[in-house]
Amino acid sequence: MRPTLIFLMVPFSFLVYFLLVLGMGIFQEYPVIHYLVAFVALFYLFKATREKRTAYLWVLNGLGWVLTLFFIWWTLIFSTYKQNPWPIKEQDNISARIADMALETVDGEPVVLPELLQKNPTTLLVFFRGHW
Amino acid sequence: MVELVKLQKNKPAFDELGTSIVAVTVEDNDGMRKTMKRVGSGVAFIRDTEGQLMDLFGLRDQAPNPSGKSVPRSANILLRQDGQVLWVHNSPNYRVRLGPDDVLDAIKQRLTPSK
Repeated sequence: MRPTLIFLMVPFSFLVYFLLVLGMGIFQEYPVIHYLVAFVALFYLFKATREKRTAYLWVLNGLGWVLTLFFIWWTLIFSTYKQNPWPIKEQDNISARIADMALETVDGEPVVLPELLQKNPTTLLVFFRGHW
Repeated sequence: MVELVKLQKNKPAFDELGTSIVAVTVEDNDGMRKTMKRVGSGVAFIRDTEGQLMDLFGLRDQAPNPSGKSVPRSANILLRQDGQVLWVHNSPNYRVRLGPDDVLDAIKQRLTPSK
């Protein structure tokens, strides 16, 4: 039973990463602790497998590595944006370009962005991706 | 979206700087309502119906989300009343966002006249 628990540390470590992001907004660019927990689990799993070489333990080893490598690939490579041109620079004035855009409120009322900007000295636009 | 919840919790600090927070979404009506409910009233929401605003800033993510829809990269843009861009920041990947303290620091820096 114990190697199974050790194996479960791997997905658990990654699950905690997602819970921290989605529940508490803790964004880690390099989730090193989560990698470390997974590697420690893989180390002990390998040790257990050397003592008692069963097919079940080898499968757990393989699965653990697949999960860990997937998580590392996703965090370090896949989730990274490919370089985008950043067409607007600081100090540019965009008032003419935002004057006629199809923007609306949740109730479908049209929004004229230059008018919205007038309401406060500065406005922070936050682009976000839906749920995540 | 949780980054908006954190910004909303710091709304008094933004008010002090004279900065309003406007979230830009491409979500459908249901999604937008749900997000607005979770975030709370301190953040105004506008829907970028055709993605024109995200395209202006070059923020359309080349990889669409799992439902096949174009979504913007996470980004913060500070604008002055006259439409001048004071600060632009986008995330290096879709996992990380700036926290409210970093955003507030960046705004303060832009609003302090340099001597």
